[in-house]
Amino acid sequence: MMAENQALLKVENLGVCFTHGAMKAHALRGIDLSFYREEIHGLVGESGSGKTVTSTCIIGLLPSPPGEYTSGRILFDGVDLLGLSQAEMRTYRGRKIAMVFQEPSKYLNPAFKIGEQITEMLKLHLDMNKEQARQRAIELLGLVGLGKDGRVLDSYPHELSGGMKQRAMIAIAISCNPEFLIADEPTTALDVTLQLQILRLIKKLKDLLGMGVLFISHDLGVVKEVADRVSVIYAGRIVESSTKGMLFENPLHPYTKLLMASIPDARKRGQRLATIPGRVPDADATPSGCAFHPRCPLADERCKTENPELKGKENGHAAACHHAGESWNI
Amino acid sequence: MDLVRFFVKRFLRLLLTVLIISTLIFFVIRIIPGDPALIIAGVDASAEDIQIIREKLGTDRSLPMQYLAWLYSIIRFDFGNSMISGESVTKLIFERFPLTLTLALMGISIGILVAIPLGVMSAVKRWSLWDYFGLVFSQAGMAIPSFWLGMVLLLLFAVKIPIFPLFGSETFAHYILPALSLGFGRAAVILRLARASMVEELSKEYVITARAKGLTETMVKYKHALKNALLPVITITGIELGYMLGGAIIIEQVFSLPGLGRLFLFGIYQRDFTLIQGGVVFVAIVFSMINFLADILYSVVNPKIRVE
Amino acid sequence: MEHLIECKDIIKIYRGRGIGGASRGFKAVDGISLSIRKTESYGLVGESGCGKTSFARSILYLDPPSSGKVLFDGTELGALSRKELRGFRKRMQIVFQDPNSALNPKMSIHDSMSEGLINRKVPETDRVKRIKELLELVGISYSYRNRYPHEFSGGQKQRIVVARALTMEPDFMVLDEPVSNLDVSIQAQIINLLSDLKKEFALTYMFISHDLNLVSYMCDTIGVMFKGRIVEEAPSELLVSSPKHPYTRRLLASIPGGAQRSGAEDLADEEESVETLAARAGSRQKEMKGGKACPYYLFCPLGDGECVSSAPSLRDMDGGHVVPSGHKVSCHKA
Repeated sequence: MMAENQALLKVENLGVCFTHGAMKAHALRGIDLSFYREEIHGLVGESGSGKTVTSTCIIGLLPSPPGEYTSGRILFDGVDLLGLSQAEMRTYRGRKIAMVFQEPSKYLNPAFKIGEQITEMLKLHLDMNKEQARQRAIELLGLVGLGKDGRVLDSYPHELSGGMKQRAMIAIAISCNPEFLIADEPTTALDVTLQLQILRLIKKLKDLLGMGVLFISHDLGVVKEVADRVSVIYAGRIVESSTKGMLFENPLHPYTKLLMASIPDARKRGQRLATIPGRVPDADATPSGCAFHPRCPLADERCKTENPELKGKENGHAAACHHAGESWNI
Repeated sequence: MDLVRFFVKRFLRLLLTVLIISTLIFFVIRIIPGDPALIIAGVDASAEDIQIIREKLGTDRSLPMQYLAWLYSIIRFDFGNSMISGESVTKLIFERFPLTLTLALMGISIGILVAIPLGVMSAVKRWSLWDYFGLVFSQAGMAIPSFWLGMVLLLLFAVKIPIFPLFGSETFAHYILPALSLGFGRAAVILRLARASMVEELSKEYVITARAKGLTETMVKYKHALKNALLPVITITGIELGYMLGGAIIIEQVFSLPGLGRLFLFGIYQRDFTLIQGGVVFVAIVFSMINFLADILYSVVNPKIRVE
Repeated sequence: MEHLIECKDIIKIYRGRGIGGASRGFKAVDGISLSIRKTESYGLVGESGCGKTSFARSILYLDPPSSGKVLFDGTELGALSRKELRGFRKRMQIVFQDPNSALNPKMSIHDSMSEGLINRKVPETDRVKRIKELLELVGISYSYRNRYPHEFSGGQKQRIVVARALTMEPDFMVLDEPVSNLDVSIQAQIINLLSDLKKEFALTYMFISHDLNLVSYMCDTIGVMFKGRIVEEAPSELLVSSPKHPYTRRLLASIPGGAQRSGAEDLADEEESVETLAARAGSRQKEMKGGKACPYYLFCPLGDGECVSSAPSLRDMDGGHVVPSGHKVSCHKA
């Protein structure tokens, strides 16, 4: 939105490779992303596109081995997170950068009460005593819509419904007033009616706490609902990035266009859905040139050999395609 | 509410187990050929003598009446008198039980103290020296029979290097070697389980959450993962304690300890039917009680089981 | 037009487990009646736990209903012997969400597909011909026939599952969330494939999904399920453009991206905190103790005393039109 503002968190030319024996999987091949305060940045991609690897890197939990950084930096407040020791990184994790995961029933510890799962962070990061932490935890539960009386503090995760669990997960994540929140498919495991509630909650908290948010999803509809800025990731590269309005009104990359056209809805009844032939390439067998060329209706010889740069950042709408903006008959 | 219902359910199950075992032993004893009265009376006894003994034993009554009387005696915890010595079976059992229980408890303590830390460390530092040591330990524990280990220990530490007393049950020192030989094999089982359980828990998603919260590795592993990992260990430890009572019976022979095992073995040699049936029911009750307690402990620690 | 499937008052109760048998049964399907015309696509929409899958299993007699009648092409399935039922069952196939559990990992796809044909005693030459045709029809090269499931991607596996179902030459196919496990770019491929196959073989579909977007694209008629009942049923266009039941409206309004929010009220209660909703649900739960209330009353923004005293039943919404629209709603306030 406010490009002139200082970015809160910047991912620059990040490359990640996983090594399994002789196989090398380039999960990220130089991605750039900028995140600003009070802005939700949606990252859309299919499974294996590298969106979860991106979040793992930002929170500093890339398993190494087999993972290793091949290039790039992650700048947070001017500090390169990749240069920090694990002990230093722990002062960021949970404290300044927090994360909400996909399946709250798996990502909450079944053996501890919700209260303990919130207060342990407050005690660790904010040096609160037991009573202060409990008071703060009650506030947090109110903030995420789990009641003002703090009854949920004494509940175990399995005693809560799916939607309530995800709210508890969010309460844990925002407990130390983080500046940056990563939400990795936070509504995928929820029913539709709950999904919208959680999306609205994340928006509300973003405004309230002034957080920058990385919102990861495979679902364009969800991203359209929640994000201010959207980046599309394919085979470890950002292929298109812009504000939500521009991206959804005028997608430039053929992959983005096809994704949008392939989503069924009532208005497309009777028409054939547009499809993208083939499937997402495995990270150990990324095609040469533009990774999308084997599936692209616009691909030509150049696309097979030359990997397109992400161009057009200065206009606020960037795409990595030699044929960006060209139209064809979908 | 749920917890109370759960306890009641488990308690009813305990009663059912005891009832089934009592019924089984009652009929098994009666199917075995040979009239106990004849055995007690000896070959030279007159018909009248036998009749008197039968009345005393109650075997002159109809089978259903005998069965009801038997159940009633279990409720009163009165298993009758030994056919041989005439003493109360209940009293005999309670004289011997403390020794066997002490042995089993010491055995399981060794199991817990050695196996759980070793198993957890093996899981945390997989494929390290710790882990290999744990592996060798558990393989050995499962392969070596406890009576053989008992004899070797006796030979080494009571005969060759006499640190421990050879026979008897007067002091604490008398219990150490038998408890070691008893605990070693069971420790191997618990170690295996503790390791597997901890390895599994460390791969769970909530561990990632714990790390993402900025917790130290110590907290991630020894608070978050360990609590979950110990849950199945509690159950298995309860069952192991039950088995240990059985194992104690053999070990008592090796170390000549006057426990329940010796009592029951003696009863079998002497065809002391009242002692045998009383002993079987008693062991069944103790075994069920241990499982009951383990279940309760498990449900207190693990809130999830109550709803399932 | 003739009906292929007619269900009357289907109820499915699952018995609770546990010692003592004190636990009551769970009513997964609570009196559903519906009909599906030949070559129609019927969409069943609802959230997890509403009983969609239980209903499908019931009408296919995979898990016979506790009560109610299912007529398949005019024959009552409940009255058939096991052997006769087997004959009918091949005409009804089901495709599940997860193709991984649908395919035996130890069988090559050729063997997986042969099984049904061998059961039907189809001679080998015909069998091979049929498998070849079907695999190529779903876009899997016949040269892959001796491969095992793990050698295929999720989308390819789902194609194979569909092809296997077709070996039985079914008339009726239940598709239970057939694309939910697949990547976005693969979903459209499978949806198009299903549309093509429907035309090619004049199939009748029952499409089960939580995704109203998908169902409103695919299906001619949509039934909305809530707590084991159908609360609204209408031709697809009508349901999306003028939903009558508050639950349907809520579902439509919840579709992210706002694609179909027009025509549906923007629910004010989304802004209400969960605790207000929970408090309302809590107080209403007490009112509903008698068991007569409309099951949606707990969450309904429109509910009143009438909804507590009697549960509405599915009724036609035609209101004097000459041509019946087929719009049915189960709500006092519609």
